[in-house]
Amino acid sequence: MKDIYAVVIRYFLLMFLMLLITGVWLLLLHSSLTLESFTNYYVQKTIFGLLEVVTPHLFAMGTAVFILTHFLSLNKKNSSYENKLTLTLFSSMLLSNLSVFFISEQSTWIIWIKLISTLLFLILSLLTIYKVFFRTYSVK
Amino acid sequence: MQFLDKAKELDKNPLLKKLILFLVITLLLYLGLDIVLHHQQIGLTFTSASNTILGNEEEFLDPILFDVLLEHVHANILSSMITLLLLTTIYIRLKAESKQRLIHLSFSTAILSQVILLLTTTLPLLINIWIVVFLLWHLSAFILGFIIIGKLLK
Repeated sequence: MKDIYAVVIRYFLLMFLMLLITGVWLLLLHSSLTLESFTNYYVQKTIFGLLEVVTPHLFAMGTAVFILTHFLSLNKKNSSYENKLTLTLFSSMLLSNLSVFFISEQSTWIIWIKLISTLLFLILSLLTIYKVFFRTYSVK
Repeated sequence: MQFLDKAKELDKNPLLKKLILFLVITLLLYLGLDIVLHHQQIGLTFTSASNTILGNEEEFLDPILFDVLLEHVHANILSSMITLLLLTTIYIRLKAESKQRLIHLSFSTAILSQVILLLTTTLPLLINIWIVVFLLWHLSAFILGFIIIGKLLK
């Protein structure tokens, strides 16, 4: 039983990693790796254009991050480090999604919040994947 | 997903049994419609898939844009991940002597089908393989679903 769960969890981690890779790939395709192109991508969008991007991401990222982080809670007592990791991961995900609504021609500096929160989300996701991967699971 | 942990106590909880049954039926419905949608959007025959992915000069068809294909794959990874995670978790809980082979087959074909679909833009020969692998992951997920339904209706 224990082994089968580990198999399923590892496949999930691989697919989560693929989600991150394709997500970053899409972000890079939509911009030409310059700060200006990143800013223009969001500034040129209407509010409904932004909603079209943010709405499915809020649902998908919220669900995927919940599933990923809940694997940390399956075993024994959680450390405060894991609690902080989970909270920061969720916060960076929300900040990364919601900051795009505040990027305008007058406030282009907000693109830094978007980029830093996205980068933080990626790093913390990889860290969580690493932590879940090396966990052992006790199934009742 | 705590309710999945209680799957062993299904005989004592008929409502939970019905809930899981409807969840699995919904997932099977999704899988069936996903095949129809892919047949419509990309094509599940070599000619139609090749026309969509690579375009066709004789029929004045443009190839699909790479970022559109990548977006498609990005969304498909999420849906296949959640579908298989739910199906396999219920399957393991219901069948104590679960066969790992079916779980490996469903996950590995689902992952491969996404990777192969991206590679078809540069390696057209892979289109046939993508169709087979795509149908295989759906078939294995269907088998998982039907085994669960069989177990629940026993």
